[in-house]
Amino acid sequence: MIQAFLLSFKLAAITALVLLAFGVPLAYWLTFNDFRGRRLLEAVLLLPLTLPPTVLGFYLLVLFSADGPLGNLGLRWAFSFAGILLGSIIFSLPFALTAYKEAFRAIDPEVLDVVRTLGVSRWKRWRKVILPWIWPGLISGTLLAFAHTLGEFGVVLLVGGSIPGKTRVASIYIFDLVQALDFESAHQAAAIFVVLSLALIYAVRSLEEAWKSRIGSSIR
Amino acid sequence: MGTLRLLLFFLLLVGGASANGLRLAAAANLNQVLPELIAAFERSYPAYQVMVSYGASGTLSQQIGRGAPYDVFISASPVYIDYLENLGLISERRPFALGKLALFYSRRLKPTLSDISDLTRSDVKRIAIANPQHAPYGQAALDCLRFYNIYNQLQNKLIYAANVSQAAQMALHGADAALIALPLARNPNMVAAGYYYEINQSCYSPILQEVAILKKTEAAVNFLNFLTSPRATSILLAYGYTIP
Repeated sequence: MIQAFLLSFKLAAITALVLLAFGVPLAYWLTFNDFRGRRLLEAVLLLPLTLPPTVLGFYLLVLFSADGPLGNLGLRWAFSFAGILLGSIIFSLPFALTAYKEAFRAIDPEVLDVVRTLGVSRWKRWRKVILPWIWPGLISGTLLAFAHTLGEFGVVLLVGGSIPGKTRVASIYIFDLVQALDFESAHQAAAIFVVLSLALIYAVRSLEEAWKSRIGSSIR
Repeated sequence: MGTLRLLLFFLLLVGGASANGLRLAAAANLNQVLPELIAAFERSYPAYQVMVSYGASGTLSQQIGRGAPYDVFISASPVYIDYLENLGLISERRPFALGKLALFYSRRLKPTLSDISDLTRSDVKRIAIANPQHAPYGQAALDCLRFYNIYNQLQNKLIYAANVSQAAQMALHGADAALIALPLARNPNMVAAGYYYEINQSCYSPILQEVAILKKTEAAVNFLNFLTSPRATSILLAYGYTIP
């Protein structure tokens, strides 16, 4: 059981960090730039919200297969940790991206313009103006991605199977326990999940509230 | 940066499997007997650490065909090992047990079912079987329903599980009856919730359990030999399998 939960944490942590690393710049770019095809791009990025996990899982398996586009490059990631990691990143992207964009939208563009005309460098703008303004939004988006990955099931099952230590994350571990008629262990693991998820969502909500009160006290 | 250090610690903990790990992919019907078999195997070979994933034989063979990293595959039907052998993925194979099909039904049903054709009774509303497309016990169940000429009448009552163990679980959570592997019907949770009897073996083709080596390691060869040893045989017999 500990192994499965640790694996879930590992998957969720890496997923959340990857989303933080490239989701924040992406959200910034999408918020402050208008270009042809932006809406279509956003629609594609939000697609995993409505796509059945089976569809995403199936396409990933096709991509990873020996004669698939990624498999051809030697990335035969089906039934491996790398495979479920990629699946989780894609599946949690809409959640992180929406939260990050929400955070950037709260920034008053005029303030950014003023700062820019004052000749403040890009690096300094981020460090002194943007990040202090929106960090709770970024953290809550990242936590949300973490929590969503913990609760992930369909894509991981399809792409990862259920290999102990590699792809058998906590949600699948519980699925296996129920199927094996081991209800006692299933109850224990499920209870841990409820407490954990509640704590995470509570943290996300608290950050959101804290953040909203900050925005309220700022220029707007 | 305490959190980062904690994170790294977790990552290290979860890190790669031990060198003496043996990864099994096993048919779901074996999830009752295999823990005991593995415990006995590990007592004889304390150096090995066996890890097992259960699923429908067809599902597992698909996963293995797509590169899932197992060392040994135990299928409830030779068909799926044939499939992998054609792909050149099998180095050695050996049948080791025959499985039996059982009819399990809920205590709610009164009077009790005396015969498989009682499944047509109106108070039997849902019957769980494993999906015949990729689960050998599902195929056997279907064969029997056809053999007794009740399949057409029961068609609308059948619910399909991903594998035979899920069919058993469905019988505990909603279905009135299930056609499942005998060891599953004998599980304490099942016995507490209903009754079972063995189905006449003449209505289905033998459910031959076969073990195959995918990655030839010392551990895999030892495990294959162990499954046909007298020690393993006595455990299998105790769980309701017969020996071919």
